[in-house]
Amino acid sequence: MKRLWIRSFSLLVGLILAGCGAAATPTNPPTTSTVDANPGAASGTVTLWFHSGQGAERDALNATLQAFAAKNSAIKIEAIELPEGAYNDQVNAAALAGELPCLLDFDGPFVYNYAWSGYLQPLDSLISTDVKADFLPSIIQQGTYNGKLYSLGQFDSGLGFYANKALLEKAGVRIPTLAQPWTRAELDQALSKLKANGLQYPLELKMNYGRGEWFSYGFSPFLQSFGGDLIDRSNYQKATGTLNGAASVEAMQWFQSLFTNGYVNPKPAGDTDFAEGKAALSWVGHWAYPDYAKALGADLLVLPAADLGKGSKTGMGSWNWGITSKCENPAAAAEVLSFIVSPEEVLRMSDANGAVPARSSAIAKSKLFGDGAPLNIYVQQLTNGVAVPRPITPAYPVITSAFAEAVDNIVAGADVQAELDKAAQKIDADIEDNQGYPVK
Amino acid sequence: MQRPAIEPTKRWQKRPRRFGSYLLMTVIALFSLFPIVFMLVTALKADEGQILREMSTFAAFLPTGELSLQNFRDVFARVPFARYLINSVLIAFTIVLFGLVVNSLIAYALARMQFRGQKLLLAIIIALIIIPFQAVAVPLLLIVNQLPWFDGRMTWLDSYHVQIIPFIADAFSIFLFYQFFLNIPKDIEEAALVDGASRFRMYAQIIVPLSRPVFATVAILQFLTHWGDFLWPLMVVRNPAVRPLTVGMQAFFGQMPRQWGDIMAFATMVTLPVLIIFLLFQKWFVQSVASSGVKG
Repeated sequence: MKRLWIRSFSLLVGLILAGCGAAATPTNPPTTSTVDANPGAASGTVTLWFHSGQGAERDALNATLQAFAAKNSAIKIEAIELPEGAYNDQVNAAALAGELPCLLDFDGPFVYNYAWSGYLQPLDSLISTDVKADFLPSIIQQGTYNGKLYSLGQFDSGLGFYANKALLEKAGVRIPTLAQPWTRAELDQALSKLKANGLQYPLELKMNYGRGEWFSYGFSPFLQSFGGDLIDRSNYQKATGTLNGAASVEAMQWFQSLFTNGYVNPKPAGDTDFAEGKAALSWVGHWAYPDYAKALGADLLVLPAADLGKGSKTGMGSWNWGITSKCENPAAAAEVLSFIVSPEEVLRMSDANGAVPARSSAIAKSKLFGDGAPLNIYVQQLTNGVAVPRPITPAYPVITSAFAEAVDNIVAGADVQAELDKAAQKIDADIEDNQGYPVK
Repeated sequence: MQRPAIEPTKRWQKRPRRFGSYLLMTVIALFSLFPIVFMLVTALKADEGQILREMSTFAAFLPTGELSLQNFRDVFARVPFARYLINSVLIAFTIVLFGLVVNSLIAYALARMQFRGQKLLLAIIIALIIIPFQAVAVPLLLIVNQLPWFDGRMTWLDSYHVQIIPFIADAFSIFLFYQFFLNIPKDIEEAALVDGASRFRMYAQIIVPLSRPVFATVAILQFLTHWGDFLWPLMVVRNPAVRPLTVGMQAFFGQMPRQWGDIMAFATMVTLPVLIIFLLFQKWFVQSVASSGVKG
């Protein structure tokens, strides 16, 4: 009996070990094998991670990778798609273990933290100046940290008002232009008129997205348009005095008034108030366009951000690509990256996800963003200084979470000054904990 | 004569109190069931707009509107659900299987064998119960990242075994076994010893058959814990071939707006196996809780 027990147990152990071994084989990324002696003619294997975004986005990227494989047999790409909800955590854990792939994508503002942490290598020597010049200035601005370019994206984002033309005209509201955006008084008046015209909540702010990056991306332009900001950008060392300064407090008091005046529903049941004609204005990014265009047709207007005192301001930035510092074959990775951000592939992606193409040559060919196209206003906002990058500092992850928490509480009726004080202190404490994020 | 007169009055007085306590218990039971009902009902609602509209109303708990299995089909179309399910089942079952053998053997040694440092070892194991996994996750990641495996790789990352081996030995399971074994009378084992049985034979033929309830409890607790494991697989697994359900579900959290129907369909399919397992082993579970006095 004893022997039988031992034999059965040993057999079980053997089977499981064999199972684990066999199962592990496909997962076994043959770590970048050949380091090419001649960087001009790259070859070898490039490991690549990307987030599982929308279906169309994923399909477009897969098509890009297949096109690359068909064109270039010397470089083999080993792509792994990671679930988006946990993407940043997985990248951080892999970085900790020193197991990052050669090439990976990440959400825009994380680049500074990754670059500062030493996860990424500069792209300046790997990407030619001609290619760089074709990118939107916002893409280069977003990817540059400490004077070096660390990331390039296939697309940028656009943020502004969508409006229901019929409802605006009925209420007698002026249609703004980029040259003459709404002023703060005009916007307040427009909201008041629209409410008086029978709309319970005339403006939609996508509060249903919940606390998260949307709050920073979508609402920090209001701060900037009032003359405030998330942090003092002269040296990125302090949020106190800026985030809780007079301009920022005034901005967030105005923001809170949108809810207390009943212009915005703080807890919308769904995502469809604007599409269903219950709201006349929707402050949201380019991604809402396909649904809105379908719902409103010719009544849909894409309007610029309002000038709330110190000029119109809007957000920028989206997912982009970088090469890791541990990559043993940066030449091959750069070749893959160059292909991913080539105008044809940029256009393929933009057609799939509706985002602003990252390159001027692709914009010219885009049906949505080219001259006179319905979303061209986003390109103009990105090129003429209306769009503001999120703070270019490794402290960004803390800034965004502190600000989002403040927004959440302010919407719920908390004291604006107290909330912004709290957020500023939290950010300053993080910067202090990291000795001011000294540049290494 | 007096007694029958008093009795009905007492019963009559007790009735509203009993009714009250039953009512309270029913409300609490319903309250606990609400999330599950919400999950099941939402998974069946085909219209995403309807789900959002009803989110903060009572209608969220009622199967109204167009009901279909579309959300379930969406899940299968979007992620390799079957693969994730197989991975989760394989990982959880292997941990439980090995855990039962290893932990009960350790507990048996602690409960019955005399050796130097026995008490210290027991104290250390009990102390380990209070250390949360989150506290050791990062050092553990750095360790497993440097360990060799039979296939020649110098890391355990991206594999099944990295999700299994660190969890086989479990301090709480050892403690449960130890407690239970202490209460088994030594007489039978002493009789077996006189008959020349070895320690292992006593464990296998006397202790194990007498300890089925604690084996069931440990199996259930371990299964539930590791079925829901998220942090560790998130840190050590990137490859979809070995990705468990909990990490796979994250594909639905990211892009706005969220498809709650799909998320709830996924959650339903993750929850059902656990419910089935619990119902199957319920008798053992209750019996063990009652006999060992340990409430999980």
